[in-house]
Amino acid sequence: MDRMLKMVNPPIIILLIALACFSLTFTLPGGEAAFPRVIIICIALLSVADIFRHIKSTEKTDTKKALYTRKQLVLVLLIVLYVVSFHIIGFFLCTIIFIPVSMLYLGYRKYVVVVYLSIGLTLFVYYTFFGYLHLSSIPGMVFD
Amino acid sequence: MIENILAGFLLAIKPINLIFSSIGVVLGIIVGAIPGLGPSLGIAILVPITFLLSPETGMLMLIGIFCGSVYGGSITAILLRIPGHSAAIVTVWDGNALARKGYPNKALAASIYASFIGGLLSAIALLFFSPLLAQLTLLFGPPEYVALAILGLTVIGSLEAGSFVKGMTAGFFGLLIATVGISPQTGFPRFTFDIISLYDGVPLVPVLIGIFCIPEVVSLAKPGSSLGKMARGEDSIFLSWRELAQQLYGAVRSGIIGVLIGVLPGAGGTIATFVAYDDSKRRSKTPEKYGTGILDGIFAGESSNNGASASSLVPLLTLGIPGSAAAVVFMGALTMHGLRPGPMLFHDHAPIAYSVLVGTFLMQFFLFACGLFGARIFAQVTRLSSSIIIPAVTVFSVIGAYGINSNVFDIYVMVIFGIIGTLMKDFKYSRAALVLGLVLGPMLEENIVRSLAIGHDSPLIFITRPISIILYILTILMTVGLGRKQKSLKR
Repeated sequence: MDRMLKMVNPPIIILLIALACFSLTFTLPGGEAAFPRVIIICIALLSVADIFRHIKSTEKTDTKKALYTRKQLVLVLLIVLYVVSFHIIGFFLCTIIFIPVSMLYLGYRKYVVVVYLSIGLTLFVYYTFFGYLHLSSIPGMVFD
Repeated sequence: MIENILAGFLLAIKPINLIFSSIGVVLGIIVGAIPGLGPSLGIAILVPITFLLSPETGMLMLIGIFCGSVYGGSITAILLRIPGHSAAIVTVWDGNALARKGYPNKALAASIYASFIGGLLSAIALLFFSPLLAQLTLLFGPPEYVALAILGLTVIGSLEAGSFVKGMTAGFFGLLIATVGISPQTGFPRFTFDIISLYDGVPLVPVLIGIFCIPEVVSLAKPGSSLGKMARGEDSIFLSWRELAQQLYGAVRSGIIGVLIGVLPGAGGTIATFVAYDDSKRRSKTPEKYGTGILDGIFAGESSNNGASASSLVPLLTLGIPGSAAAVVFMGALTMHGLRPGPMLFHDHAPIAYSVLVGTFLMQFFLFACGLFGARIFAQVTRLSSSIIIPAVTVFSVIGAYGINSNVFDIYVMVIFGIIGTLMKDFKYSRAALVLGLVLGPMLEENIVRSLAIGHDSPLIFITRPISIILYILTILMTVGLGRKQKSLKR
């Protein structure tokens, strides 16, 4: 997956996104579409210019060297899982699980610090923001 | 007027007011340093504390929170490459680069010196030139705002080292993202895909947090790229007199840019910092050094940011028009304390109104002391393991994204833009340009619509008003200058 990312040509992807957005503007009434269309045309022109710059460029990208390490990709996955799980088990439990899991995965081995930080930071955030400062809590289906 | 200033001064220096405004500054620095909270949310969540106080003490504490949080945003920008709020983006470039060279204390010191200069200019403007500046804001109609937004867009081209085309592409993408939501023309929802949370547009704060925090968190997870590479904060927290003297002119200039742009309702500190940084870079004999950790860049960003801070309260206090998100929250707080902002505030509650103005001035000295002596404490962040920083920053980012609207959707926006930001960073597309486009987008479109309505659909209205013409000339000069500089750099 990472090699694929490396081989991707960003201006072509941007041009495709611009074309998709341009087609979406046809669902809008006449006047509403004018401003987004002008912007999309500018984006398309800029990405075409960038494609030509890429073609002219003599620099070769090293597709063998990974853009992201496995650790980084797993971390992104952990963050996504953490955020998606709010919906099920709520912020409090998610956070108290996310902190030690991510710390241990990233190679931290002082277990006492892991335990104290997980509990301490979760309680601090929970009571400061949701308790004292009255932010409405992030709802979960099982726990809040 | 002098009598009122004196009465305000006497009220502001009462021990209880000094104590609470100082507490406000400290709380503001803490809140401002948490990504996403920033000045507006900082004031909003701390307003309940002020209900226990008298109106003047409460107002002074809020001003303290405001000034502190504007400065606080630069701390994480310098140490972690994560701006606390959008106006601190510019500080990331040179502030973090200088910290990574082994001078985190020096970078923090430069930030506080610059904040002090900008803050003082802003407070002086608020205290002595409020009526004059209020008149300036009235001269700015929709066509002038269009010209200002176009001037802001020109800045994108020279924001960061790298491709002009990529910078402009990112900026236009920001403008495109800004078109999501209810259209200012007819109220028709655009690109919302029937998601109700998108009707108000893509929220700026979650985008800002995602696009800056997540990529840094991902970078920190890369083996060998921890903050541990940064020096242990053994450098001095004081700048030499020579360094200060070299920076003074530029800092005052950037501060004045901050005051003048900050005073315009809707323009705000973000645009001011980009314009001031660009101005400083263009005037420099060594523009290629910007972004590599030079003091000039930190001074330009922070002086203009703080210059725009108190001046953004001018339209609120003098005309009753809140010119920024923070001013809207401040207006709410004033009303809750029984004070109605506007011209009558200075008539009906002169001592309180002037104590706020004088208090803003005095606050800068306390902020300076706090920042300078707190620098060594803040720099301790660099001693933490990245395995601790990563989960902590992620949790605070979630809270920051959620806190603005108490909407879980904003957390998803934060993560999506986090992934986009990570790709942008690695494919060398300017993330700052995208945020600037997102900030300028609504201002540009709304004012085009309004201008055409005023001008009976004639586009001549954009080029027939004196201030617009001046701004367009400036835009052309800046574009030509940029083109020449890029050519000479290529040679």
